[in-house]
Amino acid sequence: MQSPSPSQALDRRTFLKAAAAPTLALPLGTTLSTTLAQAQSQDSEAPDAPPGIVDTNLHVGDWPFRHLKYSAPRALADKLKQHRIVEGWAGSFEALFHKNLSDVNARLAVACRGIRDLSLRPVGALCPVWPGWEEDLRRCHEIHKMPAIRLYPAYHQYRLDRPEIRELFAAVQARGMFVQVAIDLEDPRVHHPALQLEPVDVRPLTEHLQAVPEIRVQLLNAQMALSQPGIASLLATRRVTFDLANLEGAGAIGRLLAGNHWSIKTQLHLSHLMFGSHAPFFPLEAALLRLFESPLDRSQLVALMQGNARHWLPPGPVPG
Amino acid sequence: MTDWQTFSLNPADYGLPSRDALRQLRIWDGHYHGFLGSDPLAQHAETMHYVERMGIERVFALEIGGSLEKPFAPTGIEAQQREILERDGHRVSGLVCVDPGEPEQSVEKMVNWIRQGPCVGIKYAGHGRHEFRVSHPKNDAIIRLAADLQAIIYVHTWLKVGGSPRTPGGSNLSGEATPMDLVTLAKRFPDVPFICGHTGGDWELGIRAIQSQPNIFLEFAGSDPHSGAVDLAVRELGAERIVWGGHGPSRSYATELSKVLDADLTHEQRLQILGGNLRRIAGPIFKKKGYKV
Repeated sequence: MQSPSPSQALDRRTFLKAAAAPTLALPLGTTLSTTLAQAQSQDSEAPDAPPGIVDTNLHVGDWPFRHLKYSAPRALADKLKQHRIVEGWAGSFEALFHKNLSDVNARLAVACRGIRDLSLRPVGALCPVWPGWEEDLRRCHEIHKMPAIRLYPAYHQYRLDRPEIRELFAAVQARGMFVQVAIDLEDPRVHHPALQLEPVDVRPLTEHLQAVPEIRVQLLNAQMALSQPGIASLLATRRVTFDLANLEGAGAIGRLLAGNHWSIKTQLHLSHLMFGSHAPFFPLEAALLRLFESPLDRSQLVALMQGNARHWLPPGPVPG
Repeated sequence: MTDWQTFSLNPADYGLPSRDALRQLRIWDGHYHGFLGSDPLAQHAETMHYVERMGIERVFALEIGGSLEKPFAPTGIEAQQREILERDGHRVSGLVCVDPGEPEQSVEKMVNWIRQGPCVGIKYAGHGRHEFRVSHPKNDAIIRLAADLQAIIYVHTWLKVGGSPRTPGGSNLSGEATPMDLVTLAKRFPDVPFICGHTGGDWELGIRAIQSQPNIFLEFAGSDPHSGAVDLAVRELGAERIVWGGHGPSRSYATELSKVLDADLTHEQRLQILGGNLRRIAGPIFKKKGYKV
């Protein structure tokens, strides 16, 4: 479905009037869903409107060990819209245990394209220690138009000091994409007994980042990494960011920025953080409410909600 | 100076309750770790800023008159804690940590801090000091006194996966109770309410473990927020058996509140879970002590 032409576009007030009054006809060819998307998009961009949020840490599908309320892409999108999320970067939970990541990524791309009233941007999974990742990367970029790829070193059982990581970073950088690394997905204390995963040591990333200038890496669910030795040199590259999903502690964001977090000694700069919820595994409300738990000013909130993410990835079109 | 009650954007614009809406829910936090750290009094003062900001009406501090690791060792802040509980009694209540392997010392501490003092309940921590868990008969003297005092009884429970073969609970510390241990205890005292802390960590199993023991309440604090967890608990136990804890400051209040906000609940159920049920449990001892519920 193509986007309506500018002449078909409605401002939010007109749309709402149209929705409330059946006698006011919508322009020919303008569907309810496209106008709603436009109205919401315009709403979020209006100068006096609350800023919309880019959620950098989403998945579609069920958790391998549990059905999730918002696992279906449509259900997830509806939930995101309820909370003013205007764009999401989504991986697929299938990637944790499927070996055919190419098919996983293709299904993910189709699922995201099927959401026409929200920008759900697929982030394909690669495993750099399995054969064929170069072709998977090409498909992610050229066929599925993905802006980034996501790594799952704990679930795919490799350490980040592997030389293939550097090759992958170089290949990703050459395509103008960026990398997300899932550090934790679930508290290891409650893993299914069949799982035995090594914790991810992020220290080797520093050398990879030095070897591949300009590669950008986001660490997802990475509170554990913030307490690892060597994190300071990784942060100093200014090409590593974190999401908010598992940053624990009362007022965690404000205290991390102030350098007085309850248990983490590392001080973060505002540019190190982007909104990410780990939904639908975590409640979306957790990361959202975390924004408000600290007394942050509006400019800080806007940077966390969308500014830092937009710096990495400009807005994509809403498919509808 | 920080204005702790001002929000530069409105949470309601993001589908969240505003601070006023949270305050109207009358949230009682049954799991407060403010008195921890190298300077417990300073940590308490700082943590209460977030408690206030998040609209929480009352906290139940778990480290009164001793730490979780050394429940009977003097901390040097006992007098200040008594003063806080008296001065701020409208929003800070106290529980004392006891030890099922040390019933005599536990009873003495309860007499000192609950019968003759300002506290309203007891807490069992997860520890590795010895092999006596809450289910051991040595613990019964503590429960009999708690029942007589109508004290709140909070039991830390976990099901840490591990061991060989790996099983949920296989990595628990020697004295760290599972929800099943608590059921064993609760069966001996069917008229006494117990709180199953942390849901056993592994909530899918913890909920099943306590389902058939109606005098056990469930509390979700201190674990990652998992979408759907409170929904399952309400289906299996009913909203009237769930209490809320914030676990601050080691956990984010956002994390703990989100577990309830995520669930598909009526307003009445939210009121029950976030404070109503804990007020019901605490009611008798609050009334006895003349505290306002």
